[in-house]
Amino acid sequence: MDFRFEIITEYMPFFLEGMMLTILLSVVGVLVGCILGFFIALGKMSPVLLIRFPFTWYINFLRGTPLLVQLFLFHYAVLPALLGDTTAVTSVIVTLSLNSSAYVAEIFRAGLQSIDKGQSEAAHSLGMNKFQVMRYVLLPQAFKRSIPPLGNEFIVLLKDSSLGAMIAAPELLYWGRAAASQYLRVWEPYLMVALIYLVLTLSLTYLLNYLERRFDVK
Amino acid sequence: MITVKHLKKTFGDLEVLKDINVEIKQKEVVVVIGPSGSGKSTFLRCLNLIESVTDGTVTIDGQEITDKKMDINKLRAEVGMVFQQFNLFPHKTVLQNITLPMITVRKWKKQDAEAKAMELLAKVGLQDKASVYPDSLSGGQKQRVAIARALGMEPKIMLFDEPTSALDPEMVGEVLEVMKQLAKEGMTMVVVTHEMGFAREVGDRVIFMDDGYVVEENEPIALFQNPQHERTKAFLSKVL
Amino acid sequence: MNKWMIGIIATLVIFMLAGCGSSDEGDNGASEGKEPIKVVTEAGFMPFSYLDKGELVGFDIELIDAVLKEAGIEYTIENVGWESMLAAVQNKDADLAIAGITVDDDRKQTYDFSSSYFESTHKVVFREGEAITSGEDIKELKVGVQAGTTGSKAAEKIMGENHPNISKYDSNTLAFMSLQSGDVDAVVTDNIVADEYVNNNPDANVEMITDPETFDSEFYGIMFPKGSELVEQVNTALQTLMENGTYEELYKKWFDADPNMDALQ
Repeated sequence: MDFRFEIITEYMPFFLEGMMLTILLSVVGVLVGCILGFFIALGKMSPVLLIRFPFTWYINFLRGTPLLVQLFLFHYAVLPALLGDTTAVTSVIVTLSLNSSAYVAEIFRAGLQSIDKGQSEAAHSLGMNKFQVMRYVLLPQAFKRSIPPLGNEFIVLLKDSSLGAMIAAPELLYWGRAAASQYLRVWEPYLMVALIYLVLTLSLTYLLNYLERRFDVK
Repeated sequence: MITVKHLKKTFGDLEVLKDINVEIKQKEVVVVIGPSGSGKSTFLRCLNLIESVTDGTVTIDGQEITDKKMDINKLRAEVGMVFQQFNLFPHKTVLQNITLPMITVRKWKKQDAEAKAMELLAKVGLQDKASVYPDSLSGGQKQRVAIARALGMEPKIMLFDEPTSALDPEMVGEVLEVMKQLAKEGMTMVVVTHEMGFAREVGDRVIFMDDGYVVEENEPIALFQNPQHERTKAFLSKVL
Repeated sequence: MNKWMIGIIATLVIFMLAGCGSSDEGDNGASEGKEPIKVVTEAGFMPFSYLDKGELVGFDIELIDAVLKEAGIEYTIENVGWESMLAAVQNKDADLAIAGITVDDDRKQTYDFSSSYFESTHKVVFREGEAITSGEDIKELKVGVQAGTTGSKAAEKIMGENHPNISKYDSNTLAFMSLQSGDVDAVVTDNIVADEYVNNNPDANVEMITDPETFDSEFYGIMFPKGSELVEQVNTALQTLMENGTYEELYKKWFDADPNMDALQ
């Protein structure tokens, strides 16, 4: 079997451009997902059933339906209805943010609930109010425990951003497909794209390991 | 100082406190003893509403804290509590453990809080541990920090929930020493403990609880040497 | 940078070796001679090759059946999907592929193709009211296409290869949906596909134009591994079908029109 490096060379500028968009989609998706996810976690832990209910179903829907379907739904129905029109990049960012917020919410919830009850009891016994207990005692500990599962979620999100290719968001896989269809060759573009994803996820892994150590210094 | 009337507490179907009536005076050191499951810890936790009260009233310093309109956080700042499991904040240094509530609740300036915290650490003999994290402390040291943390709020009353039960035997002494010192200074204290020696030496009064009731209360010597009830006798014969 | 290149090459070589292992088997199987040949397709391209209630049907499917019968070759056919189809033919795991594949020079570097069996022209589909009268008018617009189709190539010929205003969708359906939602201003696609869409969506408020001067015709061919001995046989059989009227019959059945036989010669 021959291997045509010149296809990779030809498409390299596009792959790099696509990689930049992939990074942008993932970073924005992760950040928005984390902020939303935090509030959704709080909502889902509410003792009031009526408040808890919509959050529970928000999470159920976003975790229980295929991401691709969500992407189509947001790109072709929800966002056009809300904003008038949308671009593929906007739709991917919105879909990834909402989807990851559901997973992040569950990670935060698990993190918060894993903190020993004695911690909040001690804080309350010192006169701290609910907000202070959350802010100074529970969150810092829960966040530290959430870093490993959050790291997993980020890596999944990075790869999930490739679904953007379906609606022609020109990210990394989009250019892989473009190269593949020009030459009708699968291996050269897809292996190259896979390699770039691997480089991205490995970098992310190292970054997360570093963060984990930073937060563990005591 | 503390007046408890007809206090009841249920968990679901389980009645843990049935009808508690207790009066605690200022500067008094009251030791609560009793078999496990007697409700003594729950009773203590009702005194600062860490445990919600099902029925009855608790009045502290003339204020009925079981009143729904009561600012519960303000009350808790006045009542210090020390737990069996220490419950130090693992992500904060020893010093930060003590200053955190002073700064957030009492709104003290950081420098003032730190100066006060160092004073308290000196008092419990741990000033050299100010900058370490709780993980590197022994059980006895942790509990002394926890006491210092509670004292930082300058409470009127200190509650101790089995403060030495989780400690290795050789560390019990150092914690009891701090508590004795506190009692000597005139702190009002309610102590749930199995340390009968401490009860005898420091306690002004001992309350024996069983099955959700206060069965008997008296001065330590009288209660230990001359218990009136069969259940008190049975319990004391096992622990003394 | 050097370290990177070494890493990349090492990784790719590993994958290539893995690929070669499987391709040897395919060679042996094909050289036995008597066994039926293996035809692969992608059933995602109406009306050439698609699934009707799970059944593989279409112009391509009936054409390849007629061609191989004419040539006296036994065959099996399987819908394997686009990427697998390419990989199978490239690795010689399959003997030929038919799925409305456009022949061009880039692709001839890797595969052999039969003579043309279908002429594809293009249409521009756009929302009513857009001022488009010729193919050139799309130059300044946002254009949607299906990745890897002749429509995609046609748009790139006008606007430039991989132009940022060209969005390559996973399917024509998604390209048309994006036209509706305003994501793109126009869709360039095969005339057959465009007609099908407009007929099936009378409420879509779209118009379409053809422009033979701007859009060159593209031709579909049957795809073989490089150096395949079957090309000759298939070409001969295809020629026979075109001469004896069988091809025309199939064309009429599927496209309801007469083929331009001159273009296919």
